[in-house]
Amino acid sequence: MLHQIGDQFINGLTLGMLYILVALGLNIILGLMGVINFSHGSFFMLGAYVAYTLQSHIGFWPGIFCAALIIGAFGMLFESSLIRPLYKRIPEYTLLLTYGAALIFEQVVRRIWGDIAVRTQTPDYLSGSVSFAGFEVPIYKDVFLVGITIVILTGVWLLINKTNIGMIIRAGTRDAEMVRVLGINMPLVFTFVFGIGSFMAALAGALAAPVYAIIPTLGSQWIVLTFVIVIVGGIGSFWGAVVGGLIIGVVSSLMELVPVIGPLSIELSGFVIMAIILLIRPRGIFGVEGLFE
Amino acid sequence: MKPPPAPKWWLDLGLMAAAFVVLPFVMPGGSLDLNPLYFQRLPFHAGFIDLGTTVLAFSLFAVGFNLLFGHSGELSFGHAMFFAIGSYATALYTKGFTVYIGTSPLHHDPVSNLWIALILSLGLAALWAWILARLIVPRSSGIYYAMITLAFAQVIFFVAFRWSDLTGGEDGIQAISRPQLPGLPPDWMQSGTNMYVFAAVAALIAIAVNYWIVHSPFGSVLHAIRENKQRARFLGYDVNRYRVNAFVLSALFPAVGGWLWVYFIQAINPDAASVDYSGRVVMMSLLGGIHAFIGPLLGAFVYWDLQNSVSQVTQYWPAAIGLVFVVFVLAAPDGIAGVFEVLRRYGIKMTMRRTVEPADETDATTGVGS
Amino acid sequence: MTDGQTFAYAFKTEHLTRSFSGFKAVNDVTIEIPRGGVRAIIGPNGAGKTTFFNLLSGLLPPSTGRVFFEDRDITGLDPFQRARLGIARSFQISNIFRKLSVYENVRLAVQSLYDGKASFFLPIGKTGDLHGKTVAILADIGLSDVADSLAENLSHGDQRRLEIGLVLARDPQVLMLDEPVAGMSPKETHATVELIQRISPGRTILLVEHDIDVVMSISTTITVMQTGQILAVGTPEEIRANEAVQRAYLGGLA
Repeated sequence: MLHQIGDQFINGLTLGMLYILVALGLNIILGLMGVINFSHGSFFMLGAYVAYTLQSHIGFWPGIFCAALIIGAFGMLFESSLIRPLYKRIPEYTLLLTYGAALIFEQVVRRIWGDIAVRTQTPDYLSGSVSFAGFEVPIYKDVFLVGITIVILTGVWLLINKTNIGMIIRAGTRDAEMVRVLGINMPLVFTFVFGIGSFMAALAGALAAPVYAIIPTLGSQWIVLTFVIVIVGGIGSFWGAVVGGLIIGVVSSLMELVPVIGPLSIELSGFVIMAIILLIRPRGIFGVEGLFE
Repeated sequence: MKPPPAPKWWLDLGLMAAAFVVLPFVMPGGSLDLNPLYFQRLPFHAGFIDLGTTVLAFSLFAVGFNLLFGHSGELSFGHAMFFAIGSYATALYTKGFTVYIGTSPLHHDPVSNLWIALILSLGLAALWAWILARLIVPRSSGIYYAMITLAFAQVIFFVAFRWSDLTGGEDGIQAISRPQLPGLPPDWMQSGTNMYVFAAVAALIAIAVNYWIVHSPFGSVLHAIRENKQRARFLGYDVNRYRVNAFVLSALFPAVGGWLWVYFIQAINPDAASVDYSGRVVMMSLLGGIHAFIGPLLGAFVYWDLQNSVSQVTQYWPAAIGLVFVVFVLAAPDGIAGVFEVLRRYGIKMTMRRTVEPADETDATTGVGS
Repeated sequence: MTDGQTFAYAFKTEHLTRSFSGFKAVNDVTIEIPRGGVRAIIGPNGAGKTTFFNLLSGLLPPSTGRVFFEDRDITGLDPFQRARLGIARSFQISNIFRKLSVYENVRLAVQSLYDGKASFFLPIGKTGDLHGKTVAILADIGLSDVADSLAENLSHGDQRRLEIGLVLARDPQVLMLDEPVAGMSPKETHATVELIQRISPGRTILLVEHDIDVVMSISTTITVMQTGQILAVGTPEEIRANEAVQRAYLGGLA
């Protein structure tokens, strides 16, 4: 039993890491621009599919990296052409637009890659597993994926906290209007941040492709979970996305072990956590009071 | 000074009734032939009377949703949950069920009383809406509200999906019998045409209630909240109480829609609570125009027309829906009704130009609300 | 207007403090604002006038301290509850229903008197004498001619007057006006000052205003704030002669 718990805990940790990568991009975009990007899940899915295709031509690592770059660039184009005209309207319209776009992306993926699940192959040196304290731990899924996510998160943390653009992002999250008045080219910053967010979502998708079955509806499945993570963690917060992602990942994995009711409520557990958080901390664990009033 | 003219309810609802008479004749689609298994072919390629009934059920769904988005200015991205609650309540009550809570069985025999089914649908939807509204309304607004409603709709979806003892899981519930109406032959409702007539009468009553709410003092406070929550609060309105009440009221219409829908297609599955369905109803309202009373009704009609036609051409039809979504958000956020409104104002401007000297253009450029 | 009872003060605050991340915008203010008359609050930018206003009207909760209205502790009340007690306020930036007609704006304000009454689901025409009261207020603020226009199409001065009309609708005992003549032309300023003087009998009017001529001409007393605290209270003449006030203003300019 203890062994099972350990297994599920590690599973949840891996899942949580991917959740963090997706949710963090969404959360930074949301905090800075007030844009709730429903297409974010699509970028995750597109990252996986594009990597799948590229990898057969240029290899595993270049495939992942190029896929993320391509989707990141696409995200910048998407923001500057379609979302930018909506900034002067109420923010709900950005949700509607990106929802419509997500419908299109899903069908485009069906048209190109079909409805059957695809899965990419890891290089030989990452397949197999290592023994650790009595557990058989798959190298790619539970060692490598967790490690690389921590590296990426460190990079993003440094970007936000130690660079000029990060300073603008942090100030803009508090008061974008004020930062604009100071002479910062906010549209450019928005596009850049949107690109970073899309890049991270696509990277998560490409990294997840060897582990989880990739299907066209993956985007809409993930986006709802990502919303839950953001609400639990707190809008606009780095640590909110991290803690929220880990909580949802680990708890939903552990639920599988709960007798009778557990397997029925794997997905529900996340929503129950969200309801509890709303009751005791309406702005989320790391949320800021007054944002989006 | 005279008070502004009262809304001409008899004219508006009369036109609506006339539209319901005409509706089946303008829906495209197959034939009048009613295949007893047609519910399997829905929502696509249905015969036109069936598509008409579909439009009626979804127009109730849409007017409920729009009581929030169009009138209170709050986007619920999870309104399908109330449609699903109405549907499942009716289906389970009509079909009967046995579930085990632990080891003790909970059994309900099939009953075919459409009024009790309606009361159950309304009651359960109102209860869930009230619980959610008490949780959500004081704690969120704007996009936060949209995200939270979306997430809570998933709760209903996963309950329907996972609790297969009760709900039939992914397959849902099939072969739900249509009800009998007192004084009519037992198989009266089996005919698609009669089903349509029944749905049209029910829809007209529900829409009249919605019309009444929107045009009441209560409705005008919702408009005030939509325009400026802070000002409404400082005028002495208990804004959150209004928002809770609006949420509960807006849940009732989708529940009636779900009730009609289940009797019509005689089957239900968890998709009814999906993001997809929540998105559809947003689409219908947006398409028709959220700031016009006729908007969501017009939108439901155009939406099903569009889906029905495009899905006969390509299996990738949701992309067309998405494209229309994007185009309308960017170019016509007030929907078809908004486009007509602009044209009408433009027409007035043109005639004014001809009769009066071109002096003042300012009041013709106000356009429509954002 | 008067309800038979008399209270010595309209507002009273006890050690009222509000800080924003450590900065005390309003710092330990204990003051009684007497009933009746026009009570102006002035002070250099950043003195805490608007924050003080927000604490009185309930827009912000205080960090510490209490607010009393007449003899009632209203510290924890929501703005809508304060509005029902008879406190009404306008804002620095016109706070009106921009996309609704001028008539509908005022009618909604009048309708708030009937909020919660059983007749609420009745058609609009059947609820009390909404129309009569609305027309009276429109005439009072001089906007009868533009009743059918959308509020957002009014001139700046008319929008400010519309907002005064909205806060008048409940016939409040206390009227809080935040810079009512800011950005107005001399003609509009004149009309607004007349309006304020006309509605002031029987009410307490609280005023934050930068236009010092307006303040001097209509105020019963003036309260001067500086760095979150009360510097001086007195009649216009007393304030004009007050050295501390002169220092604060001139010091601020230097």
